[in-house]
This record gives sequence, structure tokens and C-alpha cells, in this order.
Amino acid sequence: MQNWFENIFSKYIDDIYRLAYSYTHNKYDSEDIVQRVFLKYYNKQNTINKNEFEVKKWLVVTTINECKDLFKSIWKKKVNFFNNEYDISKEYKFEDDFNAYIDKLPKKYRIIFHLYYYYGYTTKEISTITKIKESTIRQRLARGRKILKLEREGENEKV
Amino acid sequence: MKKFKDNYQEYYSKIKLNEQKKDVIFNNIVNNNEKYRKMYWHKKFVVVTCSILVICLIGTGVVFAKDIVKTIKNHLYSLEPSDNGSNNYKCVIKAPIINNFNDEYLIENTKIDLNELQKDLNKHILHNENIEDKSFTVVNTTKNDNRIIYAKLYKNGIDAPKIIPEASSNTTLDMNLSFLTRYATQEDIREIIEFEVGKCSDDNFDIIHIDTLDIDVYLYKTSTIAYAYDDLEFVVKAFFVYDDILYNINGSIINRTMIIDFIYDLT
Repeated sequence: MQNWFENIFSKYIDDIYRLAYSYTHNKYDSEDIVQRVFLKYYNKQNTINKNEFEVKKWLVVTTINECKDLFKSIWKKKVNFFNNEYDISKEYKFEDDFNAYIDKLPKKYRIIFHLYYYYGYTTKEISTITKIKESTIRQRLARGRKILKLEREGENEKV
Repeated sequence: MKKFKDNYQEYYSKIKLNEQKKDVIFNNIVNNNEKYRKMYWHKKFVVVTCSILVICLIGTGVVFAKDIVKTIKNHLYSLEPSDNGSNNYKCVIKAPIINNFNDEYLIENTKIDLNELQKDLNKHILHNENIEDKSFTVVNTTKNDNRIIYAKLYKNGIDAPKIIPEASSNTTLDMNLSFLTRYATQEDIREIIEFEVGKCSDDNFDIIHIDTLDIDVYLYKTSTIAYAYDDLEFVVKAFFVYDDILYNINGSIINRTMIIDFIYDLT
């Protein structure tokens, strides 16, 4: 049982971290979410289907829920220690300003963008995972792209 | 030019947890799982226990709120007259226990013994549920001297039929308190009761008037206010029941306006 967990942990931890980071844009919150998600999985692994696709889907859904729960908490609404103090680009040394650009994307578009562009899920699969209508997902993708395009054009004009 | 998707994937593929952090998380989950689980249940237990305690406290507070408010009110309104006269009336709220009148204080000023009179008034105003049926009895006040209380009823300034025969030292008089209640708000037919207190053979009576205060008892949800005073309105007593509490105001240098203001403040 532990080997199975170890295997899943090592295989998906980075993906889950990235998904959490794509929503929170905060290193420490993302680490907490990762730990909570895998702790939940560890405690419930016997009740979850051993099919890897199902496991991945479970981890993704749980991560999304944890992210949303985090921002629902009163503590998070009132207190924010690290958002303005920690810049992840310093740690990973990005070559261009893509991180600043992607940061402009509003929260409600982030998960959908990540599932679509990073995981490569179709809008139908995203609809199943997030329980949002497929048409809404398509609309959000289009709107998100438009926002980012306007941001890019605005930056170019400044230059 | 790279596609957005490629940029996106490239950007996020660079973001990863360092190995040390992964080990810490793995260790937390696998090795300390039991500890976390215990902490989880411990936390739940504390939260549930605290919630129950808070609910119990709120419940108790709600149940006893009325009593607590009454106790606080009792404390606040129990003002003793001060020597320098800054508190010019004594206000005691006690229900259903009748306050022991500060006899000494009054006698010093007026030489009138109001003890028995007060007891009777209190008794009847306290039990005012069927006030129409109640009557109070006035008897001679002290055994040590010859003082007798005479009572006369006046209706619009004219002698009412009930007059205690002179020199009847132990006469009792049924005097219905409805005199005080029925006409409380009807100025033209209001009755004033006067008690003459003194030695039966002496013309030097002290007179105590009992009147009602002109206040809308229905609006202020109070009983009729019995207002007793001597000739010079030097000694004043007022009784009324508000919210099941007997308010017994007595003292000197106190006038009707002050009592009415006091009732306004209560309501």
C-alpha cells in the first residue's frame, strides 16, 4: 500500500503543486494545499479506484476544492503575509516576463486555463472535473485569452 | 514565434517543489499520519466541547437574563439619601419583600409615624391583580401612645360619607383601593384621601394626603401611582407597580415632577 502511495506521490506531486500554484500564485499556500491533498489521499486511498486516470482526476478535483476553500476562509480574506513578499520568478529564473503576464489572469479563469493548456484536457473533460457547463468553459477560455491579449498589447505600447 | 500553449507549459514545467520539501511532506503524511489524525480528532473534540459550552452559557444567559436585569436594576436604584442632600430621595425597589421604611429619617423631619400606613399600602398595591376587590385597613399606629389615625374621604373637595368616628381607637375601615385606581386618569372625579394622624384628644393633627399622580398608566404600563404627602409636601411617599416590581419611593424634598420623571426613565 505504501509503495502504491509513494508511486502516486512522486508521480503527481509536481503537477498538483503547479495546479495549486496556478490558482493561488503563492508558494507557501501551494505547499500547504499539496500536503493536505496527499494526506487526504493517503487516508482514503482504499476507497478510491486504483485506476491511475481516476486517481489523477481525484487529485485534481480535490486540489481545486482545497484552493477554493483556502480563499473562502476568513483568515485568508483578512490576512495575507506573503503575496507581496515572495516573487517566484526569482527562484526559478524565468527568461522572459511570462510569469508577470500570466499573473494578470483573474482567479476564475486560472484553473480552467491550467487544465486546458497544461494538462491538455478537453473542454468536455474540464466540464466533468469542475462541474461547470462546457459552454461556460469555452467562454471563459475565450475571455481569458482576450484579457491576456489586451495585457500584452498594453505592455507593448508602454515599451 | 512560440504558441501560447508551449509558453504556458514551459513556464509551469519550471515550477516544482524541491526534493527536500517533497521529503518533508511525504514524511509528514506517511510517518506522522497517526499524529496528524490524533491532532485532527483532538481539534474536533476541542471545537465541539467549546461549542457546547458556549451554547450552554448562552442558554443559561437567556434563561436568567430577566433575573440578572432585575438584580442589576435593584442594585442601581437602591440609592440611599446622602448627608449632604445630593440624593434628595430614597428609592428602594423590592418585590415582593416590603421595604422597611426608614422611620427614623421621617420622624426626625415630621414626627409622623407612617409605618402601619405604609405596610397597608404596600400590601394592597403588591397584590393588585384584583385591585378592585382589595381594601386596606387603617388602625391605630403605635401601642405606646394615644395616637390614632383618622381617615376622611374627600370627593372633589366634599366630605365623602365614610369618616372614621372620632375616638374609636381600634376602628378598622374598609377603604377600597379602587378610589386610587378607578379615577386615576379622570381629573374631574378624582378622589383624595386624607388621613389625620395625631392624638384623639388633640387638635394638633398631622394630615397625610393620599392622591394619585396624573400619568397615563396604560401608556406607561404601570399601576396607578399612590402618592402620599403631608401638608407641606415635606414628606412624600409614592408607590406603584411597574413590570411586576413594586417601586417604593420615599423621602423629603421630592415633588411629583421628579417621580413622574423617574417613571419616564423606567419606561
